[in-house]
Amino acid sequence: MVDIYGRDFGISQYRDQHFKVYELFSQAGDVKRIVMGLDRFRKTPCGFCFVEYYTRSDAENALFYITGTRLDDRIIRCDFDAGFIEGRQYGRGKSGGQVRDEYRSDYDPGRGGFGKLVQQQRQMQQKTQGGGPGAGGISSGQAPSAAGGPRPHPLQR
Amino acid sequence: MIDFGEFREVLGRVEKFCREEVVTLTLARTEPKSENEKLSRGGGRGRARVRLYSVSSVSVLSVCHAMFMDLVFIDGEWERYEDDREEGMKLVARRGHEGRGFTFVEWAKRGLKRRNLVTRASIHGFPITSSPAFKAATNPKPHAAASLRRKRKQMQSRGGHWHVFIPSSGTVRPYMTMSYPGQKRRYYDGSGGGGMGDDSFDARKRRRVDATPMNHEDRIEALILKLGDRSSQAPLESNLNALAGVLEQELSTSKAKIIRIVTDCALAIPEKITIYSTLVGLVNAKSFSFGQEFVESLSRTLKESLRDCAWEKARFVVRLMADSVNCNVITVGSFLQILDAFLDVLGQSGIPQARKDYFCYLILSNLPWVGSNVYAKKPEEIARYMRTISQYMSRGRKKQVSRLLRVWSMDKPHVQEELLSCLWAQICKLSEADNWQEKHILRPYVPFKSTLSAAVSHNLPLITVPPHEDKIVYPLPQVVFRLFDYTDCPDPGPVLPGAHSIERYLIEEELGFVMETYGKNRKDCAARMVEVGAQSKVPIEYMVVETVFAHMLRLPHAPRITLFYTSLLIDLCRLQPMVYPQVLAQATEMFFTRIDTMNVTSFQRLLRWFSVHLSNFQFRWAWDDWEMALSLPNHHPKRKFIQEVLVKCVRLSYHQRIMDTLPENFGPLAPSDTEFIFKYGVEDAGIPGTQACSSLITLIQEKASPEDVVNHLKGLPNPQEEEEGGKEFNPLQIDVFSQAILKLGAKTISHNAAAMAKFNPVFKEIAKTDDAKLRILKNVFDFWRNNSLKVYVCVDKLLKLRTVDCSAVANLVFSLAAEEDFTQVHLWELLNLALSRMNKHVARIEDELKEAKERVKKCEGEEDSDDSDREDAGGAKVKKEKQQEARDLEADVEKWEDQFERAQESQKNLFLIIFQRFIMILTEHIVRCDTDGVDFKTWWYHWTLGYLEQIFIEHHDEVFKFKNTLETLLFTPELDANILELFNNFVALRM
Repeated sequence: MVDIYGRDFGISQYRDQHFKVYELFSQAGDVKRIVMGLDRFRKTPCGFCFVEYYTRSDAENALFYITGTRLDDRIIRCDFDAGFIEGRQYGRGKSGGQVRDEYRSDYDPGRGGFGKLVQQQRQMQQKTQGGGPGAGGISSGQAPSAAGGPRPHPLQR
Repeated sequence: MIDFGEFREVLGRVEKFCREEVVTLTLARTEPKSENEKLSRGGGRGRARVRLYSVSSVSVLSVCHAMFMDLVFIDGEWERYEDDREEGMKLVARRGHEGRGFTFVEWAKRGLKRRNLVTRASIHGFPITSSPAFKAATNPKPHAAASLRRKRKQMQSRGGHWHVFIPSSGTVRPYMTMSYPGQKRRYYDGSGGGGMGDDSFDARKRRRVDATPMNHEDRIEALILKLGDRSSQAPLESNLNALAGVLEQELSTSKAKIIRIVTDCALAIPEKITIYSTLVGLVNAKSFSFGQEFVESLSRTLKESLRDCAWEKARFVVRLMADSVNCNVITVGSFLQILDAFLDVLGQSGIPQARKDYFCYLILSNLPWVGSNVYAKKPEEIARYMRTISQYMSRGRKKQVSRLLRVWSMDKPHVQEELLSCLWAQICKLSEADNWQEKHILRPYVPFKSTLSAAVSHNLPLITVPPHEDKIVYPLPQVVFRLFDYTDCPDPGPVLPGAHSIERYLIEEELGFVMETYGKNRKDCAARMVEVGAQSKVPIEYMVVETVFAHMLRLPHAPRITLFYTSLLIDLCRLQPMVYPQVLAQATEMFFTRIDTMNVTSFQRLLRWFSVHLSNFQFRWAWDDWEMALSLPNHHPKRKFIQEVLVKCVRLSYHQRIMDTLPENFGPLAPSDTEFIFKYGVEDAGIPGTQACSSLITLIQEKASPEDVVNHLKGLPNPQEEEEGGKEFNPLQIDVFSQAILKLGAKTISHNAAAMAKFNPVFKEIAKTDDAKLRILKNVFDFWRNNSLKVYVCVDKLLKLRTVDCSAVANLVFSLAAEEDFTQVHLWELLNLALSRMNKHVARIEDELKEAKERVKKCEGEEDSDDSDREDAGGAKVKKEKQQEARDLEADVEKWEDQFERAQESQKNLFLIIFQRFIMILTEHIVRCDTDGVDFKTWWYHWTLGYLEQIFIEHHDEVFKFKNTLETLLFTPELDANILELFNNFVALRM
């Protein structure tokens, strides 16, 4: 049993996501189950999921042939994973979503605009600009690049 | 970038330059992690191990200088490998003239001395150069210097091992993304298209590279494996010469190993056979005994592969032999004797045609390699071969290939030829029109003609072909797939070789090898496919597309899953965006035009490809061009194709999205909305059970247990009570319960699975008969009538939970025979799902049985060996235990045997039911049409017969097991000739 850390179909409001993933990933082999990744706080999809197959060869197929293709205009990245454990379906970012969504500095409407930190900064900037020069600068320690790398699998056995 | 051989030379210079510092320097190769890496990276990554007395920036610099002398640029940095707990210097080497715009000339122009030029190197992420800034750079920040000192101390106390880690052919990563010690792997966001996954994968692997130094033999293996790769900049000739020199020196110590490696490489990478035979020829010219042993080992390998029925391998061994004749390693006469042995098989009687065909193919497919040589030396011999084969081809065999293997049912516009007949025509043309001169095969031995002709050639030992046995399975016949001819290619440009020109066969075969070899890395695969045939001037994009589709649609089974070909085509489009999308569009247009005559199995694969392809390109398609399909009758394949593609697209996206991309007049073909139909949705509709269902839903939502639910359902009246036999199950119960569960699980797959799993006992309780199970499935089908995918998911789950059995699914499918849905692909997906579940189940039990038997065997073996040396009292006790164990194991075997028999029985029954139902509805249809006086060959008939054909072809291994039962029970001579013909075609698969 191998999981695939399949991810990336954007933050979409369509609940049929689950089935979309099934449709695509079942072409690689017999899917055992799919666990959608959720935002830790809001319990909404946040762009990753676990797809579990019965055999390793099916999981390999998915890894080799689905990585880099698109589903709903989002590029999919797959990775092997040691196995799903309850609790891992939640995003580990500070604000609840994926870690990579925290530090992202580009604008991506499919993932909810800018990364979370950049959004915060912008909001603060807007505030400071509106409220005069007294509010002070933004701590540079929060710059996206300064973050330690996200650890992909906290419970990896 | 630079290849292994060159790299070694460069390292030699390193040694010279840092003589004071270096103690030992060896080039190491890490074991390739996967088959894929072995082939794509030429056997793992190269790694130089440099042991230094002390490390200083000076030594780093001298390494860099040395590299530069060879016009090789280095990106280097210190790195610590977390897993190894070691640190060393990682150097990424590139050849200078293909670097980032720097060339030697440019440097010279700037008036710089070579020695002063150090390319980028860094220590702990800080760049060092030999410029005046050097000192500052080596000590840019106090803490970095401190950590360097600390590490240096550590290393010195451990004996001063330093590693220079040099990927031999890894891609050069941009300087910025290189990691330095302590930096963790970062995600980078997916903005640059495909393949990010690959990169991060590499980065992680690289860190895990183990530190074992590469031994001598591994090094030779790597050199041989990489020979002739396009990554190498040096011309092939000089590489061959150099490697032959290296091998000659090694012969005294590891001759056997070298022979094995060369043979293995040639057989694993058949497109490089001519390169390897040249190498053997060159070594043979230097050492007579090498050639002798090589020839003997080759003959042994051929015998073994024929004995083990490794048909493809045997073909490549013969090809290597044939090419060795060209390189003067094997005498022409002795090679022809081998061919004679194969030719004899054609004349034998009482053996299946498949065997004769194989040996005929074995000869024909290798003739292009050796034909011109034999023709020059022994023209009368080759004429004799051609005569014998011609006799066999024209008289000795049935030419009619089974209809089941044909992708197109018509011979227009391209004739559906069988592979062997087509190859024969190609060979005939080669011998008559072209005098055995083909234009595709790479012949690296031509420049070495004088060297090779001086060598002594050897006689191949005679071999006898192992006799035929009934249990041997020969390769199935194949039909050549043709999509394009020369009129389809753009006019000013290279001309596509004709269907009977040998180049077509050779290039297709090579493309097939590439897909086989690079199956796990579609990016490399695409890159290599584009390069094939560069020397023979053909419109390669047309041949690539044709070959990919030929493999994808091949019957009975494609070599790989459809998804592989899908993503390969996507990558081809990305690789050459000005070329492949156009060719693919042209191909799709052709498929659409000819789709009326396409086999149903291939139709489904094409459908799967096209929908995923569209979803990767924003669902953009010129639907307007297919407008004519709107006026076609229902069930027409063109109309059906569009409908089914749209359904699949909705599955991959969402309904509104697809509707937005579709022209308005396509409304009739558009899929319906994907919402469910809840039978008890309207409160006052007066359907019995509405009240019960809504109360059941509330009950379940309040976390009722399965027992509560059963009790609740017991209160429902049975409308069939009065009818005869109506007591077996209560349809109202089933309706109410199934609808409630489906409604509750409608949200996601997980909801659905959880609901079904939790209340599985209820299903089992209320549905015990076949009819009741059918009723459950009917409910599922009606509930998700508008969403085929969800039907599939639900049925899959119910099958897994064993709530319903496979025959119930078959019953469901055939119960819809009169309805519109009957010809829709997704219904048949359900049937094939049930069948493959059944087949997997049988296969699993068979495996268990085999294992149990093996355990018994092992136990018996132990007993025998124990008997002799244990006679005392303790031994008796052990023996007793052993006997008990043996008895247990035997009971186990019996249990599995019993289960296996039962499983096989139910598998057989399932197939029988399906075939029987097919025969029933088809016969009924034909009779009805006859009485009505209309032609029975309607599109409905086309699809139904097509689906029957699909079952034969997709499960041909299983169905063959009970061919005789089918013959006596179902497909009897009284049956309608049209249906019987299909069965006869199936039997003809294995002649």
